[in-house]
Amino acid sequence: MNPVASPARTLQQVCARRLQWVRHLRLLMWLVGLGAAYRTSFAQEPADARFSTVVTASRTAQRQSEAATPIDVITRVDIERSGARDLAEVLALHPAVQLERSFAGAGVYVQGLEPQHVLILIDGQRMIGRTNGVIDLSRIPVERIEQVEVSRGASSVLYGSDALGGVINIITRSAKRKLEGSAQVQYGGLNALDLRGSGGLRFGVGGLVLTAGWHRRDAYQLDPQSASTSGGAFDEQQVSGKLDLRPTAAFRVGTALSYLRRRMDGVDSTASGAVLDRTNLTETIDASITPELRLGRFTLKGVVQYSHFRDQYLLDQRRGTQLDSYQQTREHLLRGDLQLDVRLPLGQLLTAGGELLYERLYTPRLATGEGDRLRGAVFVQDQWQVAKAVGLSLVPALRFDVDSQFGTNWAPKLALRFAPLPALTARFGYGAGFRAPQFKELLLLFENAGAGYLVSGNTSLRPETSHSFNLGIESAPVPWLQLSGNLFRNNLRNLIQPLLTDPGSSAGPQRFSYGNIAEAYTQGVELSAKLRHSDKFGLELGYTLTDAWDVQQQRALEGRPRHRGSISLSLRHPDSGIDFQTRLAVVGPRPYYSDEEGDGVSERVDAAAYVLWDARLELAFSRQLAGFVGGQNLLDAGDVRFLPIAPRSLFVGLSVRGERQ
Amino acid sequence: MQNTRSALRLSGLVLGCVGSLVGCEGDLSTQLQQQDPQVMAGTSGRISNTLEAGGSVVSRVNASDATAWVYVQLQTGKEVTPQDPLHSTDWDIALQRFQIKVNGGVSGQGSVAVALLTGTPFASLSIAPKDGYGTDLPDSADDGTEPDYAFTQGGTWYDYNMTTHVLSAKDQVYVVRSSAGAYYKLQFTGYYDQAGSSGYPTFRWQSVAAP
Repeated sequence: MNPVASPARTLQQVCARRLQWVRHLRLLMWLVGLGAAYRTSFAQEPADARFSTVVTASRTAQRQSEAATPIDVITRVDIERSGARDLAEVLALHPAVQLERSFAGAGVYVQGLEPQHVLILIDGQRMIGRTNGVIDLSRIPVERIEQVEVSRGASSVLYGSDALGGVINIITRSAKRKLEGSAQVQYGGLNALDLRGSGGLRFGVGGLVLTAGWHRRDAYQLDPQSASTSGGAFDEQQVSGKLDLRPTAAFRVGTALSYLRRRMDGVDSTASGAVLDRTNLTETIDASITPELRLGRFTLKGVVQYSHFRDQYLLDQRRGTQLDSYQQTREHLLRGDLQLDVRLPLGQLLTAGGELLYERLYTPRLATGEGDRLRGAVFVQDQWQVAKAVGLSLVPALRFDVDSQFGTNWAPKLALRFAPLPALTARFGYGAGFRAPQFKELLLLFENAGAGYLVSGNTSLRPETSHSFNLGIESAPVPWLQLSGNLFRNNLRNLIQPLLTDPGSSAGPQRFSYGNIAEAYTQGVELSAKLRHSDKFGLELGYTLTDAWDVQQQRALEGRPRHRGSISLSLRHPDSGIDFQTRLAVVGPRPYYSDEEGDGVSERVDAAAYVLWDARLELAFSRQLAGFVGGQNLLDAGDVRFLPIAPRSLFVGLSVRGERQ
Repeated sequence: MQNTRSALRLSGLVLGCVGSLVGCEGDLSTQLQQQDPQVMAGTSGRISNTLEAGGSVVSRVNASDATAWVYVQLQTGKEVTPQDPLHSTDWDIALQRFQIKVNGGVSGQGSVAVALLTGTPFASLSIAPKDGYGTDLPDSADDGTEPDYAFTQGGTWYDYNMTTHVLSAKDQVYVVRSSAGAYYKLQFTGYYDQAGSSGYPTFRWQSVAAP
């Protein structure tokens, strides 16, 4: 025994043993960690929306926090955790917007401006197929959506017509991994069945994403005494594909193609006692090519878009034929867009471009059965970082439109961002917006002989215009808390309203037309607080005060609640694979005007306040498989007249996912 | 003598019977009410008739064609198709959607006239009023160019709801005097058929005693 060597060796042995222990422990921890990682990696890491890349603010990609115009971002993860099946359900409880369901579908109000004043884009390209001014957001199933960007305030300067109250831009999914695929089945109340899947592939010079979905649900009736349904049954199928190619570092081109077929069946009843079976079949085709060329400081982007919307509307009177009707509407849109971005000295990014849009509509309701319009526009925008140290940037922009129907329109915009402290950002924005008169308002010829009135369009209508002002502050005093407040005011002019042009007599019907007669404003405050602790806990509170006033009639605008609030809570327990999210929206009373006494004079009726509450619980069984249960409208809100939403429904589902990096 | 007595006895019996019959007989006018016009239940052309327990008739007329009149003969409750309506006395009233004309004045050579009664329920009216009758007159200085129809004296027979665009019959009773001098009470009850289609004026009617 070596007395000297012995202790040393002993020490060495002890150390080695300990080291082995540590190694074992590390291995164990690694395995546990891996296990946890296996479980948690099912749901994608919730991204902090502040660091999301947005494009809606300026038509160029930038960080959300650096955009001069405030943008709300709803990420793919938010959407998955909400349990929503379509965009309407995604936005139903979102604080930035107010969702309203009507016969025309689900539309959104932004800052108290109605759905026809909110532009809906898919990858920056305008959606067509407005019914009574509303683009039905339930036409957009979630399997296509990567991110939703909500820009509040007028931004016609970048997007042209309809962007008065705001813009909702849906960014579709792109392939991110070498190979990825996911599928989900969900079944719930009202026999709601959703099957959806997507697959992505990245290869040498590009990527391909394919999505498909089938969604169906039975009709529902909120008033059992009535023969009519409150919400129709629907059956919808969609497929989409998106191919991005980047043959060289400087050149990329994207192509996208999608088709959606949606059939809705419901029952209507009239005051005269007629019962009508209603079928509405809509089909939408969207195709686009988006080339992009980067040459040093220059980036040239192009878009060629074609969209076709076909709407067949059938009314079949029970026990009679007098009220039977069939109407087919076809709408075509062809749009070309060219945009040049130039990086200039002094931190300036100059964007200039032009847009050419051709629209054609076929409907029996127009005097000639069809109408078309050609619109051209040029715009210029300068994103100027005036002083980087204090985060001062200035974005002036101007757009000029020439339309074959209404003539010309100017739309300016000025946005200012000031971030004197890393945790404090202030924004000011002024923007002009416009809405081109719809074909219906210009060219309609519709006679309701039974009721004795006739509505004809007015070809000399001017666009509706708005001027919007936003002043907001955003602060993150501590990393886990983000506060924001925004004051807004929108002045609306030349609003198009039906106008009685001939009171009618026994010899002829009452005649209505349209005129640029109304004026209104909306103003208010938007407040939000977001608390976040890692990815395990998230709490979002939102409140909006809206004062929406019809200047012409001196009364509150219909349908806008004065108070609206929302709470969203999300909890994750990575070790057990549990992911829970619940959302609550409180909507105050909304004014409506209706001739309750049948004397030809409208009285104000306040629709009752309501609370919407959704919840969803997901359990990840493995990296590939997860199950979930949830409920929508848990408090069973809704009434036949003012809130014809689906009653409380529970759902259950499974989702599978696989990927190869 | 025997014969005389027998004759007297018989005469007394007959007189007694007649006398008792006279005494037992009620008001003739009520009998008249129950003697309905010779109306049969069922359809006649574009008219559908339903007989009611009290002797009244409910007629629903398919007058939904905005370009053609439906001519009605009240005595039979049938649709007639006069070759020359202006010179025919076959018809009493005619309907076209919500408009009603009578065979009289500017609309025909007959002498049909209409009186509007207010405050008299349909069921309790048994004798026609003496006066208050009017017929179709030329268009006066009002908004329209149509004649001033007898049924629009005192306003239209319907109320129009501007919100729902639904016509509903006013609660009022008309008395129609036919060219032959018969009187009918008439009340509109609706404007829609069972399927809810418009252009189906429906009215309850029954003959009443002359004043």
